Amino acid sequence: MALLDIEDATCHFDMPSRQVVKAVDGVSLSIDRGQTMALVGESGCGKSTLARLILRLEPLTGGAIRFDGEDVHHLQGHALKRFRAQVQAVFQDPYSSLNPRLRVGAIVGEPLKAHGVPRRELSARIDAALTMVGLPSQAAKLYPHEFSGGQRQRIAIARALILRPALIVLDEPISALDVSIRAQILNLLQDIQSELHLTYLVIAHDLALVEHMSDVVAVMYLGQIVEWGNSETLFSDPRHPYTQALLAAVPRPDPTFPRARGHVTGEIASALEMPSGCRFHPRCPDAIETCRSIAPLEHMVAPIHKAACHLVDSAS
Amino acid sequence: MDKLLSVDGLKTHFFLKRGVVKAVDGVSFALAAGETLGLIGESGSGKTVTGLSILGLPPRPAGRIVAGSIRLDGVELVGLSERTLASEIRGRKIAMISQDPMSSLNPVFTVGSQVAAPIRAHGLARGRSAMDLAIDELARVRVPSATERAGNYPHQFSGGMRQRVVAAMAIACKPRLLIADEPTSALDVTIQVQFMDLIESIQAETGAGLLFVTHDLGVAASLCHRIAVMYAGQIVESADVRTLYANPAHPYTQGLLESLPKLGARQSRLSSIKGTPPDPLSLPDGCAFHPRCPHATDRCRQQAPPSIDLGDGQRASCWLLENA
Repeated sequence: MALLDIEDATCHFDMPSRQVVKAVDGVSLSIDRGQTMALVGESGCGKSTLARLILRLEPLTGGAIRFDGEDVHHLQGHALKRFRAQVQAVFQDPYSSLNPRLRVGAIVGEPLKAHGVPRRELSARIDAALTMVGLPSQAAKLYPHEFSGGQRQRIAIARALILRPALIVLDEPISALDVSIRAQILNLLQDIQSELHLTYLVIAHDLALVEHMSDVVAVMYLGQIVEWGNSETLFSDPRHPYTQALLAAVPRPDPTFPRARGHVTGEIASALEMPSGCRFHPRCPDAIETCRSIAPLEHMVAPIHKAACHLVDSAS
Repeated sequence: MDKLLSVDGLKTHFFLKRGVVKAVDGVSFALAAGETLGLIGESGSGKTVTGLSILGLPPRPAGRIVAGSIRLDGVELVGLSERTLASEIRGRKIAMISQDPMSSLNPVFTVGSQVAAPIRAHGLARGRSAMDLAIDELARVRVPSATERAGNYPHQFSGGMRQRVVAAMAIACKPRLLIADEPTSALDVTIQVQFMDLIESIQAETGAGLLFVTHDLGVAASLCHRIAVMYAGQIVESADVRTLYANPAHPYTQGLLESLPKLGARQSRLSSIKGTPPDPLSLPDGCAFHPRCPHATDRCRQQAPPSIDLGDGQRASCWLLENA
């Protein structure tokens, strides 16, 4: 059974103008235990809202999200508290996600207190969490400003680990860090994952990073998943024109690599004025008449690979 | 001298209560018309302060250019009065495109009037004709229906379009030199590509030189002709873009390039540079990179390395290259 199962999830926001923003609009995904799933897409595609739905920080307006078989958005009392301990998050900016007035020990230990772990256990567990992320135990006595960006992200990871969660949502975990530090943090996340058998949901815009760390990738565009698949197949054979465009646009650290030319034009549409038919059709270089009127369904294109595009043939 | 810009021994230091930060400490490079030089570095490496120093805007009050020379078309800029810099240089001969298009546009004026502002300020046109020129510039940066859009406010534009407006403002007075500081970092990849195409076509049209400040090794590879890598206030390596990516000579450049995840080349583990960037208030002795360098020797710990000419326009500051 999947650890996390998202079924036809929607999150619509009503605007004062009576318009509706369909931030997440019918997303179905599932993540197995121990897997890393990446969610990619441009700003405004709904990936962060989807993550907030999974963390139950935003109300669902339709569908269901199940964690370990339980309906996340209907949990109450102890069951909700258990869920909160099981699912943790690490955010992009380690400068704004750590309280500057608390010592690192208090920051990392706060989840323990919230979950009623006895006081006598605190310092040993804080110590263990700091060790796990490669920080010395003296770090507990210092304040966040005494650390560099990379070390702060280690503190945020220690805080996420301390309740021994099953799932960690990593929202752009390295994009605010210096380039020379990023590989250290990525390696740390991978080590911790295999050691603790963690499941990761990574939200990222850096596709090279995504290919490096994910088992499964979901590509989002205007509130919907347009392509989903095993990371190896999806990167070597992207089927949706949007995924193809994203991949072609990635700037490569190789001056001999030609820049993408004329692949996709324009910008992501406003979630207030959704295009008819396929939501990508106004920017799609291959759009045909059908795309303008009929929304495409998902087709299986390989055993673990789906794409929602009229031009994609189903695997026979 | 055919160089558009030559920077020689530039030092910009910050005088703080806690000590002196040598943000830029002896930087030299040259840039020809039509050329794009990428200034690559991490936060705190001095790349942004280098750009601001060229504009005569080292962050005040702590920052000051304490040594060196900046010549544009042979004219020395260091030491010019603020009045001269403002009336003849900034916005006229040198213009800047900054990272965040929202904070470099004024939310209460229409974009047309903001693009027209430098045209009026430098006396190239007045009134209605300045606005007409502004509309031409908006069209040049491919803002669709420029005439109508000139009457819109910044919040009515998307991030990519706002960055185009900022570019239009920068090129409005046909500057000789553009300084772009992380202009694509806030943009999505598909929009980044469009913006890079735009910058290249502007350069082809105007022949302006471009100093491109970035931390993104991918964008730099795609756009720049030459690259200078900064670390702790100094240029540690500079080379033609192909040479730099194919044969990086400095251990820092090598470490950066090796640590990047690369599309289509899945690795189980990334190689990483150990340690963290140095504290600018207490830089290490000798080579500033030595605490993080896998090849550091006693000499590296004691003496700063000289810049070594490796041929084909490549230079690097590293003791290991001395006899290579």
